[in-house]
Amino acid sequence: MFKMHTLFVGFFCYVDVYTFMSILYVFLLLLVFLFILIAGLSIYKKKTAHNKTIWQQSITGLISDAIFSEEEEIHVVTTKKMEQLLRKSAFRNCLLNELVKVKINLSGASGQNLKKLYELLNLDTDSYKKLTSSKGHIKAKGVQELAIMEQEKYVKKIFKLTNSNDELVRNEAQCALVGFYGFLGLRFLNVSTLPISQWQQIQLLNKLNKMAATDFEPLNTWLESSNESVVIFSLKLAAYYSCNNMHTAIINCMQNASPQVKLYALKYCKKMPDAACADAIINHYAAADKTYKLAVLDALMITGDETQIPFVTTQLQDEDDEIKSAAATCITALHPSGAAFLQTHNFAEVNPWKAIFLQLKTNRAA
Amino acid sequence: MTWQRFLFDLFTYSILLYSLLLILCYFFIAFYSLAAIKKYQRKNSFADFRVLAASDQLPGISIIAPAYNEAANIIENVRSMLSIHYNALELIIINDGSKDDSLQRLVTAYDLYKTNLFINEKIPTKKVRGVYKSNNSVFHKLVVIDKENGGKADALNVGVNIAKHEYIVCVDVDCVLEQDALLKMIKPFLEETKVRVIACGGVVRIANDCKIENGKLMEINLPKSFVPRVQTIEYIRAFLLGRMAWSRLNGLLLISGAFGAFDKDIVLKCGGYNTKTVGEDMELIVRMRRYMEENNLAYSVTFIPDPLCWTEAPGNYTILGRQRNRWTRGTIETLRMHKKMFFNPRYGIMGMVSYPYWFFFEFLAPIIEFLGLASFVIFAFLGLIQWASFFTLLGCILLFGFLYSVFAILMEVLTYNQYKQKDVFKLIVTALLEPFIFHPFVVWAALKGNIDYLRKKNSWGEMTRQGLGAAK
Repeated sequence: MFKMHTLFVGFFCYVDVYTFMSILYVFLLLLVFLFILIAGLSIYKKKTAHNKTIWQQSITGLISDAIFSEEEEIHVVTTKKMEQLLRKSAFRNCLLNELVKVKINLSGASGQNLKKLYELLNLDTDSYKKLTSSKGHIKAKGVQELAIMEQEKYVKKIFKLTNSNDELVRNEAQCALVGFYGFLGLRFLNVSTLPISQWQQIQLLNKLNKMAATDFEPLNTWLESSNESVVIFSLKLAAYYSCNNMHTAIINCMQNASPQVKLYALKYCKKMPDAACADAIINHYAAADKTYKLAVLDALMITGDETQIPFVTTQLQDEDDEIKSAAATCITALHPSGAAFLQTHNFAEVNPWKAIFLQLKTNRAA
Repeated sequence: MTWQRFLFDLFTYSILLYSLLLILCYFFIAFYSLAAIKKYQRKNSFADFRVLAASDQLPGISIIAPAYNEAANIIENVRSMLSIHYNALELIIINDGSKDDSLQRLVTAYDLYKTNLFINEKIPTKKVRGVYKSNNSVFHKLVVIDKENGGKADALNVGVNIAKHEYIVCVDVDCVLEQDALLKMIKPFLEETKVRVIACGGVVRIANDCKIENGKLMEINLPKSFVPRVQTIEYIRAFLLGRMAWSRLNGLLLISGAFGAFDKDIVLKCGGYNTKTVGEDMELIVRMRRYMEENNLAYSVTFIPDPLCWTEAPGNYTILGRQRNRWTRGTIETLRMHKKMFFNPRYGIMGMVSYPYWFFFEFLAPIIEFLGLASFVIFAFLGLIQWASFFTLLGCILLFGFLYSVFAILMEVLTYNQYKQKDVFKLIVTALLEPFIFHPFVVWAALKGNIDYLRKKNSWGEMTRQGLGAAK
């Protein structure tokens, strides 16, 4: 029997106890480093929280004085302490964050007073500095602050960022434009070549909420954009603003190669029913996939009339039970006798039709 | 060189190489997750979830929550889920043939009536006995399904068949979700423009000893007893580091069954949950990914680090043992079902990296650890061990394990900082004790899982819980 004097004497190399000791020391050093980091971080977080608590009083004072000010100009009581604080970048940042947070929820005179306070304290230069940063998230923050504080003088610079390669910057710049000008701010769609995510579209629609618009002419151009997401967003906008003169352009979208574009065109037709839509929808039905077919049957419930009943009735024989169910629901909506009409079919007592019809009958009764 | 020496060298070098590879993987995971978390946090700081929650532009989500013998807390749990901030929401509770009075309690509490809902059985399931909806319009989002007992996967499949929205979120009915959980979960599906996001996982945190009132998390506390506390560290390590890194690599193979969001269309195309495995959560993700790879469709499986879902962890070793036993069997079953992907370049990252990682470092790890321990005893008995070297190497391994846990704790402090300062210290002490008290038990439970798998045992294992509402 042999006894190991080193831990491993292998085929190609030699590993002794000292090698492992060195690794052990490295791990120990790393561990000490991590402990220092955790302790340092905890202290830093505590200190920041403490500072914020102390500053909060001054910040609340500044903001509430501004909000309730009835004078044309905003005045800041400049004590020595306040002057010192305003020179500290951490304090300015804290104040800026607080101002932005409050401004989002305020409009009218109070909101304007906050804007004046922001300008008076030259906080726009802080935001602009962020805007010129090379780091995307800082740049985006700068855009956000300038937008919320209504700094339209920076609009040219912000507009250039609406097609930025950095998604965060691009999204914030687009939101900023809509925040400034509402529907008119969407002019960036003319030049937008990068995809606008669904999330961003929801954010933009949310920003447009309650913002009136009258001239929807640009929608016709956007509906023909080579950027698929711009077309989809335009369809959403047309439905959102209930534009009732876009049917021709939107029917054309049903020939688009993108399934998503077709689906949103259908959604528009459902929202803004028109006789021309129903026929156009049916024309594209045969070659469509299941998702589209279901959307068509759903849209026909609103856009269709009795003339579509024969077409929909044939769909009751589709292989897919989901389509049978959607067709039955559609017939119930279109036929004057409703669900009772379904019972006139000779297969009404055979499953799955029996179960589908029974559900519709129950729904109607409820 | 004698043959004994050759065998000894071969064995020890193999173990050394395995350990080194594992340590390198952990280093990679730790650093790779850092950037992913940072990026996520920066991105999310711009979203105003409070305002967006009311948007009617958001896509619909169906929450599917299977329940089996949950009568004690089901009313509060359902109320908690109904109060989640999301506009287009449908909550589907599936009573999976409970032996208690769960259904009756739901019927009474939510004024339910039996409806004639046509169920398009796209995925075959056990028989549905009834579908219930509420007479009270306040609860219009609620749908309760009563079905024959068929296990969690079967219950989830019924939910998938019935769900009317395009996205589904599968949760354990006893979980407590944060109010903005659904908004945060749906975001990755909507913000991706290049590939299709097929699933998104969320962090599950341990709620033992947290203060929960009316199904809402009021105060976060570290569990007082050791077993759930050490699981807190495990979960931080697994979710904050492991899954974030795998998600960044687009190699995530597991989304917790307790809380995960899915693209319903892909789930249906894949045939839903597999009822023949106890690891149905992992198996579904692997199958969905496999479907996308085999059809050459660009996709991703994402993960978000926000602590959105709080659950009760096993409070004692008996329950914990059953849970880990089941997890092991689930892993083996999934790996076996999809063995075709093992080092198969056709499956990209999943075939070349994720699957081998799971095979070598999740499935084999406890077996190798046990073999190492057994060999150590034999070598020690034969007098082959040089003790100074042994203790140094042991120190290295233990220290690395502790280092990794401390790094995870640091990440927690750096990001979400959910625990008080004294609790962070407690977590560090717990991490120090883990390899001596907790880890051997987990290895043992995994080994038992392997044995049970060979014995073809396929039971779920009873998971008795105290109930979160009872936490003080």
